[in-house]
Amino acid sequence: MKNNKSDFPIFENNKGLVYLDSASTSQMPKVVIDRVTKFSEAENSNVGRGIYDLSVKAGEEFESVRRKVSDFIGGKNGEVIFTSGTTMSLNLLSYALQGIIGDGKDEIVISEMEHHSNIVCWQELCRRSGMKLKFIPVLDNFELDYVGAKRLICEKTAIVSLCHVSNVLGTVNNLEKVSSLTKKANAIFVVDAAQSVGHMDVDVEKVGCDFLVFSAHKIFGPMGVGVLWGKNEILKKMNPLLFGGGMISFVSKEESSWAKIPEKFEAGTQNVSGVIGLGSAIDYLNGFGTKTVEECLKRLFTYAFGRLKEINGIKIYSGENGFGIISFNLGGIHSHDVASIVNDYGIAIRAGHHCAMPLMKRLGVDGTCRISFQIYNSEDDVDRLIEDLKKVLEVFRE
Amino acid sequence: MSSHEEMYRENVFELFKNPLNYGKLEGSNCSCSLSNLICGDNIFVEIILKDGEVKDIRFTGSGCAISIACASALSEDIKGRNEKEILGMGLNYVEDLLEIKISAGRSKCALLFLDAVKEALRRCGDSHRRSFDVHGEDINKKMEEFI
Repeated sequence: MKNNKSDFPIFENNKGLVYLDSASTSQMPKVVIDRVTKFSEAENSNVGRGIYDLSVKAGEEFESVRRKVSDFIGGKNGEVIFTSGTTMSLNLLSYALQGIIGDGKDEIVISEMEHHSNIVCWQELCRRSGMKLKFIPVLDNFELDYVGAKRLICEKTAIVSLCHVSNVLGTVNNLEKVSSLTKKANAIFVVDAAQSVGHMDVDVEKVGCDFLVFSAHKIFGPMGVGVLWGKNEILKKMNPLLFGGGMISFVSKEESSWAKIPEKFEAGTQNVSGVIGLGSAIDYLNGFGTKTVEECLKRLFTYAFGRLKEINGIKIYSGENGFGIISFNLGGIHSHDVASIVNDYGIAIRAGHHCAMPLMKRLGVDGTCRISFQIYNSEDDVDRLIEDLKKVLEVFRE
Repeated sequence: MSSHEEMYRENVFELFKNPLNYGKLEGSNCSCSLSNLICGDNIFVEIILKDGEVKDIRFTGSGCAISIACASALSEDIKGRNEKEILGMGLNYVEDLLEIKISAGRSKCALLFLDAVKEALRRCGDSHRRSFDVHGEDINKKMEEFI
């Protein structure tokens, strides 16, 4: 397959850069940067406000991205709400769902492999409401414990919120399996798809979830834009989190009523140029198809997994069936020391707890090194990493 | 010289592998736990402060070579120093002490111990020496449990 590196100006501007931190944020191709710039230079206007041409056109473009996102994730039976990112989408849910939790439902189930954004907001909901937070264990092979999931998801479960792909382990969770449990328990099923949408084909109907959230900046779009897709029948019952302009249908001195979905959940001026950028990123992805991304990430994962195992004393915290992301530690060397030294050779890797401290505790480590791939990476990048990891061992004389 | 060659000197490895003043301190009258928000490393500092002077200091916790080496060297250096001297210390002081150059991305690692010491000194003498988070929970206790 053609390596798409030349589509990304970051590599032109940083000669020799090996970027292995796409799980944190992916780089933007020139077409997306140009589209955002064009909007700012030639089309900038607020949406849903004006009756003049510029505003109408910006509004049409904004809404066309909404349809594009919906098509991209098979979301015809729900609604796309724009947010500032995955974290905001989950926070919105954690507040807006509080008011519609049924009697006898007093538990929220997440897993030990969640990002803090899919832990803390639910902890806070539990603190506000007196509900209990339960964690599906992670097994020693870095897979989700589905037996544990079956035990935990029951008639008392109000919400199950689970990542599709772990941002640390690269584990791909079997959402269909979990979905059958949530349906049986009559629980709301939320999927954090930050590491899967745009990386593989994700269809909300096949997944069987009620809500799915992700960020634009992990799929070649700009930072500060996210998506909350939700089923209409639940969205209708939910109260907004944010109040203000754009989300109302009527305001008097005494009270207000809300606009229809999705505007009801989009108070204030939206990140219009960012949303336009997301639309462009989806066009870019559709140009070769998410299947191509999936195959590339699988290929690079397998290659890197094999090459990392060549290194003496390495401990890998990802299973063989992982996807796009590998965590590891180099003997007893702290991940910050490893990342710092390979940085000197132009290699960008992540080090630390990756916003997953409960998972670190489960793995028995303070942190890990993490590499993650995108379509601009190649086997050469992995080879360079391996060579430089060997240099780290020399520095530490291990 | 590359930035890691300027940082990972022989003395850094020695201070990292055999840290000075590592362990619990009996009879401390001020203490503080701090985390490095980037990596989650924790350091717990205990001090015996008398008449505004550090009589003894020890630390526990985990960290990278840079953070432990800096904690190790600084813990020895600040014994006998007064609060004013310590509160005036910064990254340059740490770099001079270890004779290394800290790269921009590692300043938080290098300063974790010093920041914990400064915070402990600020709290010391307060009617309530312990720190409480927004929910009223005792951060020190939580940190001690975590470590």
